[in-house]
Amino acid sequence: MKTPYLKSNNSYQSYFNRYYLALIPLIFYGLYKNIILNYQKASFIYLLKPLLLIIIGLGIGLLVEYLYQKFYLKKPFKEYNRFIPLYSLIICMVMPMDCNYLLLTLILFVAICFCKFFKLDTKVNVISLLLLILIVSLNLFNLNAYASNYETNLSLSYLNIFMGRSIGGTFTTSNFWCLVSFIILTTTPVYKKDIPFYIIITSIILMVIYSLISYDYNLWQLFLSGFTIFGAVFIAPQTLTSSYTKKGKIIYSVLIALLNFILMVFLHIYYGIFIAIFLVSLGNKIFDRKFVI
Amino acid sequence: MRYVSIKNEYDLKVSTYVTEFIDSEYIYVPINDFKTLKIKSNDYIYKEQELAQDVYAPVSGNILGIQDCVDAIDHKIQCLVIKNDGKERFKEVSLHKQKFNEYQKEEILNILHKYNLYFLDNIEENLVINAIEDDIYVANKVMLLEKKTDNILQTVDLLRKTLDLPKVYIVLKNNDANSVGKIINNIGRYPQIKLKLVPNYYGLEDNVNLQNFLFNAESNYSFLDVKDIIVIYNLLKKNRLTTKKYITISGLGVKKPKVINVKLGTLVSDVLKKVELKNDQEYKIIINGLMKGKYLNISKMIVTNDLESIFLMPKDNYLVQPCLNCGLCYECCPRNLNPKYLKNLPKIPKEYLERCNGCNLCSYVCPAKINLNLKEDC
Repeated sequence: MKTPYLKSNNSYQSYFNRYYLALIPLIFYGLYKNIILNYQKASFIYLLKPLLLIIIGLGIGLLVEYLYQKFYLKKPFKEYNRFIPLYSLIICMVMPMDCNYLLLTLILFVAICFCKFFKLDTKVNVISLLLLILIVSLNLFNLNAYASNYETNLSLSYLNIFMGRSIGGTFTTSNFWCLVSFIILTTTPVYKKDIPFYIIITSIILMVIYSLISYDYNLWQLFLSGFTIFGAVFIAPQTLTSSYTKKGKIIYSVLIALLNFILMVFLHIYYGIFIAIFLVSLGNKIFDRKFVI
Repeated sequence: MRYVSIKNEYDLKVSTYVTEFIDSEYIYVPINDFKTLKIKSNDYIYKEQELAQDVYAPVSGNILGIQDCVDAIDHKIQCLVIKNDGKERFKEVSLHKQKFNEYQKEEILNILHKYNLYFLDNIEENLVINAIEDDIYVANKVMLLEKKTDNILQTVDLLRKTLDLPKVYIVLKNNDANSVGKIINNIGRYPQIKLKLVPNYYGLEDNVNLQNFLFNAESNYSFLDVKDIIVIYNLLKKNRLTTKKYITISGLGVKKPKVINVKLGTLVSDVLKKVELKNDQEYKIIINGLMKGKYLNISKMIVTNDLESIFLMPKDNYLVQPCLNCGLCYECCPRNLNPKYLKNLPKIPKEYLERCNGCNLCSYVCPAKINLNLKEDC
């Protein structure tokens, strides 16, 4: 007997279950926003698109895992690593409803296979990397429009934007439901809740300072309608590539918030948080090494 | 630091009475240095007769010879075998010379020094009596408090007076309802002794952790275990060494878990005969608790001071997975160590090994079920 006979409830399974559970409010809100609200205006096939995104996300993740287990490890598909299906689901949730699904499927499949077989998931934040690859490649082909065909009213109040009425990823526009998901995730001790907390607090402090100095309040719109809160809650705290020491987590989070803020101010890009997470995740081991003991 | 409560997943409540087992046929007394032996084979020895340097007989009877045994941490030890006559005869009846509360500091220290007990020598300004049991299924200290409340309080009060201690605390877990109730009912007679209740957090049995939790690391507090208090009581009141100890026998393989008061030196296999065991499946024996314990072979094991509990449990079955990098082990470590980092070093620095108290909390909280106990490698 090498470990204690008693075991805590913390496990891989409970961690992933909590993650999937936390995604449910966002999925429901996405279905409500994109299906129920568009019911009168859109065709039936168009309304199936959000569901198709979920199926593609989970399907590709499971398929890659199956191929990896069956042909690479040559093991039966029983116990599998649940990271990859979760990653691909989160990626598809960020995608716009009107993207090219064939191209999305192809790029996602190839990119996830590459990450899986070269074990990139332990080295960099794979979700942010894959999202950047997808956004850049879909933009190259001009097939990436975040406003869906039926989103015409783009001048919304801050409250509406916060609640998720703005344009954006199919399932990620609601900051309110992101915060509800954050509360669900904090119930598992494995989730690094300090990271989203510090990112959001630092971002708000920077935004307030910037607004007071420059009298420019448009940045708040970009902050609320972009992916900052979704990225902070679901992508930045991915355990394998984020810091785990107390001070390391603070440095990791503050750097992400700072980089995201700089990208928002100077480049006005809504996906700055993905670039920030990807770059900072490359250095997470360095931050931890400083404070290991 | 994150404090962790151990989840109570098994119904292993011990019975409310203590079973006595002091008449084992053979008693095995560990001897460190056979050169100092003061008796021969076949000699009749009295209880508390000195057998070798600092080794006293726990029973009276005949010496049979020497035999190899193991202790609770599986170390091989050589023991003198005594055939217990069950009469508990003393060579000379030594009664205490004065009333219990008339002892002076020097007298108490001298009596303890006679038996190589030095735990009162460096008592600081304030004294804390630690009555916390970390393992949630072990009830030795709880039973000791329940059954010997008055003796414990009387001794603590004597120590307070003679050693001139301004503050004396008895610390208990707030979920030990019976012992808390018993102490509350009796502590009124000793107004200088304060009761402190702590939450059911794991690790507070360790004095360093308890000091960090209750006070600060630099404060002047000394800690004594409630078992030490009973040793002092027996020496001062009865002029007798403590030759028995409480052991919890529990687990899913035991019909009625209980605490047994057993003679030191009894064979563990004999102790197990005192409980009803289940035969519905194969059970493994775990020595010293479900958190810090190990599967050990008990065929030659004897009851020593470091044996606290015997558990019979089905073999555990879990899958070890790769590290999630969650940092929970680091967050929960009561000694502020980083088990994940240290475990991956080719050689763990001595400084950190010494700081680790082997509580196993890191391995308990690990979602990947990795063995992170630093002491395991030593």
